[in-house]
Amino acid sequence: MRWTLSLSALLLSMIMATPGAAQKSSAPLFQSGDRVVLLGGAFIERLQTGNYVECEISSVFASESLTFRNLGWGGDNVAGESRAVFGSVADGYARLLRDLKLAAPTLTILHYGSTDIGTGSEGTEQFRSGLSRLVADVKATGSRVALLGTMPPVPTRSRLPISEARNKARLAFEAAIMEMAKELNCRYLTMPQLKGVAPPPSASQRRSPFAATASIDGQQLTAFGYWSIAPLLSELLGRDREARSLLINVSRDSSTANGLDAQVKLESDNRIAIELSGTHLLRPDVPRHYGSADAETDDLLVKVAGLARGQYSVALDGTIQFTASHAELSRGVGIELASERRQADQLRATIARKNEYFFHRYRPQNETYLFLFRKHEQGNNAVEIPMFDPLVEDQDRLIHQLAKPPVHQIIISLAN
Amino acid sequence: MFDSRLIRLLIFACFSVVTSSVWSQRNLTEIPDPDPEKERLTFKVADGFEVQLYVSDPDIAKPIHMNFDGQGRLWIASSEVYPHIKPGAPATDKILVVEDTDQDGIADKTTVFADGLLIPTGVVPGDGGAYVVNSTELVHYEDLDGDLKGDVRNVVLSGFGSEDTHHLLHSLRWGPDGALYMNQSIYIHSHVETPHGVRRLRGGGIWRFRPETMELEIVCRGFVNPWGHHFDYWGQSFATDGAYGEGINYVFPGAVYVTAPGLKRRLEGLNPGSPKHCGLEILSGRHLPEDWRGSMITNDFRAHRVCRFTVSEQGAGYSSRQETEVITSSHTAFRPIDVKMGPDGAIYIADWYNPIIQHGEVDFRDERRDHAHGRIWRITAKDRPLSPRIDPKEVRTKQLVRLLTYPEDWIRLYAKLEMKHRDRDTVSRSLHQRLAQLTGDDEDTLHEKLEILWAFQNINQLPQELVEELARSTDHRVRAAATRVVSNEHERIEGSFSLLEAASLDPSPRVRLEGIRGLSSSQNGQAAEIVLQVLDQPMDRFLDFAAWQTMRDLQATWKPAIDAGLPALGADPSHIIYALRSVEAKGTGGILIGLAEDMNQDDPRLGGLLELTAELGTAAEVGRAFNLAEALRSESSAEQRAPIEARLAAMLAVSSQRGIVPPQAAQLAGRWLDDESAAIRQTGISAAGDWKIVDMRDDLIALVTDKDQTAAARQKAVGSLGQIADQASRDALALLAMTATDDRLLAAVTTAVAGYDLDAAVACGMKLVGSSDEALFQSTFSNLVARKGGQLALHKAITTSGDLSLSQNDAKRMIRIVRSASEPQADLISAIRDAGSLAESGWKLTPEERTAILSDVLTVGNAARGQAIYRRRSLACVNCHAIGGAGGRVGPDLISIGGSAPIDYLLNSLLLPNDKVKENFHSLIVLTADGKILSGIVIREDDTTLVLRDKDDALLSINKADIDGRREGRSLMPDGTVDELTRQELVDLVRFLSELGKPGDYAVGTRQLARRWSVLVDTPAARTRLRRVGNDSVLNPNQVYEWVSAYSQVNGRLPLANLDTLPRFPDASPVTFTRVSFRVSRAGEIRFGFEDISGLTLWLDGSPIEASKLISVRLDPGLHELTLSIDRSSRASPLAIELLRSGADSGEAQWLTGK
Repeated sequence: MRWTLSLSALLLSMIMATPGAAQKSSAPLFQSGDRVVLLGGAFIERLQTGNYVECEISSVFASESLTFRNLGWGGDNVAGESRAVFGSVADGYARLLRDLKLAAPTLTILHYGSTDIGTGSEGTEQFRSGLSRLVADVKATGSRVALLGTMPPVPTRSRLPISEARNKARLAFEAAIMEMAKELNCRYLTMPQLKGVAPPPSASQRRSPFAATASIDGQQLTAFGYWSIAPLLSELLGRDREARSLLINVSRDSSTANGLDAQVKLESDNRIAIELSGTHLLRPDVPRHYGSADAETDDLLVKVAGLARGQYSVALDGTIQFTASHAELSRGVGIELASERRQADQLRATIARKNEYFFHRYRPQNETYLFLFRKHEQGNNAVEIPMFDPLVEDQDRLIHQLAKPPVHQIIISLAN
Repeated sequence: MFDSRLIRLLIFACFSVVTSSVWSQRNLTEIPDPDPEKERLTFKVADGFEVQLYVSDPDIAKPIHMNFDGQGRLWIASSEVYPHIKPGAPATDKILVVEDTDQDGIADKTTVFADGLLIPTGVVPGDGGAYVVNSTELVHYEDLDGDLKGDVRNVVLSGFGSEDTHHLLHSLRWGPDGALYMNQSIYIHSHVETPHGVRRLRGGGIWRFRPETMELEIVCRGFVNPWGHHFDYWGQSFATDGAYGEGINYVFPGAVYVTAPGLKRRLEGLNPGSPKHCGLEILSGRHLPEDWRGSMITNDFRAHRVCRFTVSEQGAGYSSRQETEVITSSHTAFRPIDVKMGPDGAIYIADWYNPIIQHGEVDFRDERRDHAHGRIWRITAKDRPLSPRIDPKEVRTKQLVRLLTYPEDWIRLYAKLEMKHRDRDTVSRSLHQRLAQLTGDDEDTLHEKLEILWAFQNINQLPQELVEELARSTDHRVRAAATRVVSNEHERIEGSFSLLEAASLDPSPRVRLEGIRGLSSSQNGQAAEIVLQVLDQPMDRFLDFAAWQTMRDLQATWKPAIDAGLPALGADPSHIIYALRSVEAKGTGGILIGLAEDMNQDDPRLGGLLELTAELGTAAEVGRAFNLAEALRSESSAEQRAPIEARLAAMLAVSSQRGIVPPQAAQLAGRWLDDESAAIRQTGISAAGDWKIVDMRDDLIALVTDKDQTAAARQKAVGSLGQIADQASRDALALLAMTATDDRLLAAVTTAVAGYDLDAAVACGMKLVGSSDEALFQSTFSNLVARKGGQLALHKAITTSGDLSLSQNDAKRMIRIVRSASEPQADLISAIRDAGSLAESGWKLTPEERTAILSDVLTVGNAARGQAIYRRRSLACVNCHAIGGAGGRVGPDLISIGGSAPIDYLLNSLLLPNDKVKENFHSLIVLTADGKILSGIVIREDDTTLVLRDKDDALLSINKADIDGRREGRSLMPDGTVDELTRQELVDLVRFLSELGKPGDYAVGTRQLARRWSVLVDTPAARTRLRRVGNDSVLNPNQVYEWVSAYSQVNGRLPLANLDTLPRFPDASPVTFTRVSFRVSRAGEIRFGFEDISGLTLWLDGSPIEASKLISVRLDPGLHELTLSIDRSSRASPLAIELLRSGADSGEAQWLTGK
């Protein structure tokens, strides 16, 4: 693929990213109040790099008040091999089930298969039987199960070609996942394909071999990769965003809102009061140094037709933001909702804190001393570990509050 | 500067908390004044050097790891959160960059490069920023604008284990090849997804990572906590272990070290018995005196020492010796943990600064733990100019190439790393131009060519001609390094197999080692045969390990052919034996015995083939091997028979352990039992039992009851009857239990009967109550209580005999035995105590008494008296614990325990050995199919065999098929070990332990003093033989001469007072005989220094040599022995022998240590 160095290309390619051949099911995947466990290897574990995906889904599905628990563990497979710690693979699997119990899911999204690529057809068979056992064991806890497909190759550094052979092997596992989903009566979700994302302009001067793109190795995602894939995943899960716009026709006393709930009040022929809130909380900014927030679409586009001639001030939440002429307003003005973006960042930070606390809860450092064969020495410190539970729950509550979009007040009035 | 102020504030806040808690703990341990100058004044520095403070708290805190960058800035991974994050507290650890902008040797600027980290255990600058270990991840932070702030954060690799925060991924280093090397430690299990597949490393090891290609490979496996790794001038790797005492380790690809999970065998370090060392830097550069260049600097942080080793080539590997320390200190918080050379050629030491060193034994939240301080010290040579400072970033590409000739390692390294960021074509052209100018074959030119090859590797180019030229260089060090390049890049080098083949046959053992390891990933069917040719040239331990490991790695290329009976591995049987042994190839007995049967009877390899058949063959094949050995025996003269008889006994032992019974068992055993050779008769008796030959039962009964038979034969026959265990055997044993009066026979009956009737066995064993034979009493009752139900049977025997009373002595020794069991039963101990009318003993301290004892340790504790208590035979400390390698290996070596463990921990460990057990010293309890409970420390384990070290320091090899159950056990140190000590004795013992490793009289220094001795035991038989044959007779092995181990004091002197004496005649002066062994690793002149030679007569390897204060001899490699007779009437002073350094071409030797 050829790199281009313009920001518009960046945007364009982002727009071109599509959620593969996802079959949109009529039945929504999430139910109100779901506790969603994300289970898998490095892709799941690294969702915590920036937490963009969880932030996006929490916002888009805010009305469902979802709770997420990340049980990703690098290198893991359906046998729970990475979780074995000092024990056998069977111990790893037992631990996986134990951790699942701790997380108490009502819905579990499994992402496995990537670590087995390269094991050939024998590997696929083993994978199928392992997956079948795992799905049955997850279902036995009372949880619904969805299977998320493997990551298609993500274009990356030229010096790291994606092996055709590897992708071919991947497709064999992908087929297995699709078939197993049908056989085991689980929802199958195709991993969205991220297309080429150009590095930012300064990349050629950089000394780092890790271009700031969606992936540094063609397989795992960077913070930017997760930021990019987040809306595609929420679309895949059944709900996407609409650009926020509000069209007001003063003469007809009518308005049309997209992506918003708005109440428009024509207080006089030169003053409009609007109370609005987005359907979903705005997204957090693109991760720093991977692109520019300027390249984003407007937070809110307001078009007002039929205003009397003159210069109007536009106030947001009690503070005048700018002035615009009636002509400019009829063509449309963009309004930046900085406070809502801050809320989105706050949401993301809270999710990060929650995930960190949960990580320390289910997979604390120093396990050897806390729970394993040296617990007779420092096992007394294990009393601290359940102390993370209320901390995690506090963050959950905060996340549910922050995920809801705020109400904004906009006053457009003739300037003196 | 804003950043420094902020840090200062933060640190001040933390410090206030620490100091306030210090007061309440002052009576428990020394909390020193944190003034850096006061700390510096405690340093004793090597002659010609000086130390100054480079940077300290509050500018930095808790440095864990550090590396300089090409611009001379020091990058520090700093953790105040260590050892464990508190619930709700944020992760606030940092990467700091320290600069000395005015180059006056003192840092003046500190910048926070990255924040919000969780116990970062490694940092290395590079690729426009720095690589940082953050718990489970390797992260790269890129600094886009040069303001020393990490802007772009990318997780590069993830899935590293976090089971122990001082074992996390650590010790990041750039190799000369442009790869990033990283270490992890024993408790870590890593599963890392890369685009090339998942890489899994369970336990310790060293990784090699190429960021440009995302290739991640395991270089070597094992170690406990290897916080040191560096490359020498020729690209060879060395490592140190902060939790294992073998000093410097020579590292090569595929090597396996202590503790690697599933290890079959391992390589040992170059300084066995050495304390544990952290960090490693190989010195280079013009600032240091010439004789220091190439020295290896590492830290004994427990004992507050910065140590220096010199390493020289020895065969395929190296030998190492310790030199005088760089720094010693008595400051209890001086904890040197990392060492690096700086841009000025000075040596920089990271001082973790803490009275508590880690969190294994000391509580996470112990208030004495320091979270606020930390120092970097700068060591310079007095009156020598500093090295020139060069920033490779500022140099034009052509000049960059010339930097590869600089003597400073870091300049050459950063020049190569800088090339990665320049235009590749320009770099390549400049390298080629320089190559064209290099025509000579002197050492400097050849080394420059090697640097150029590495430079090409850095930019991912490998000129074929250069690779081939260097693989054939006249210098073996260049050939070895080039072979490593071929090995690492074999897929991209044309003809790599031929190059590796040539290297495997090279005249230099080092190159051969690299060659065969390079072949280890080959799919070529010829590779194994090439590797085995290495056996035709002299071998050493490094080559042997490399060949053994490579044959295992290549198994899939040769084993199927062998299994199918097809020709493979060439014609030399010794090659085939080696290959089969390397993989313990079961099912290959047919091939082995076939080879043996075709072989000339004089062939020296025949014996090895027969033993291997017994080890690997089926019953029929083992039968053929016995037949062949028998035929050999019958055709041999009487003198030739002894080795064949010994081989038969070994074949029986190894095949019986596998449960193999040859088809002609009865016939063989019968023939042996009737033989005129006493040795083969013993084998016959064993065989009758091992093979359970019921038809021989009556012969055995006759033998047992025949008083003319030797005691050994009768005891063995009792054992065999116990193995046959049919009714008639049981009746015979029951009768013997009633009638026997000889203690040894009773003991044998007890053990034999315990196999099927524990109550009867205990009844028989109780007849030994009152026996004066300590060892017999100990072994018999240990055996009983080590059986499932054994303690119950003993309890029943004691409690149901209402009138049973035990002497106090019997009760005490029985309690000691029960307490040593894997799971001592309290009611049994109490029953024994009642029967012996013993008062309740043991230390039950109130907190106040405990505090008072700890206070007394510091004020009135006497380490000299403590050492004498430690050495008491009745306490048996030395049986399980070594100091400086000399002593048992059941428990940890205590060489620097005082430097690491606070006194409350020491006291606690003596009173409650199970409260805190040192890593690697937990026992495993195993129940075998025949009802035995075995417990010990796991030494190694594979699919078929579990090897434990038991409480008596013996290795138990257990067939895993015979294991019925297993679970984690206790410490092997019995409760109540110190019950009999008085309060003052306990205080003295703790004081002694607390001094171990601290500078002073109780630190094992750098002198090579003999520490483990064998002393001849005084027995009537030994006296008789001495009288009849003379003193020289002790030089030859004889069964009447029993030797026991004795150990020097910590200062290397062996006190004579408690050693046995054997007067040759009743009125002659008493004489003590003692021996000491050493291994010569390099032939040459070996020199011994004696403090005092009065009363000594000496023999070296059995020949007399004249006693002198300085003895110099030329010796060949191998094991040697000095024997001494000490005339005790003319000498009372302790004995001390030192191995001294000789000239440059001198030999190398090390004392043997262990138990």
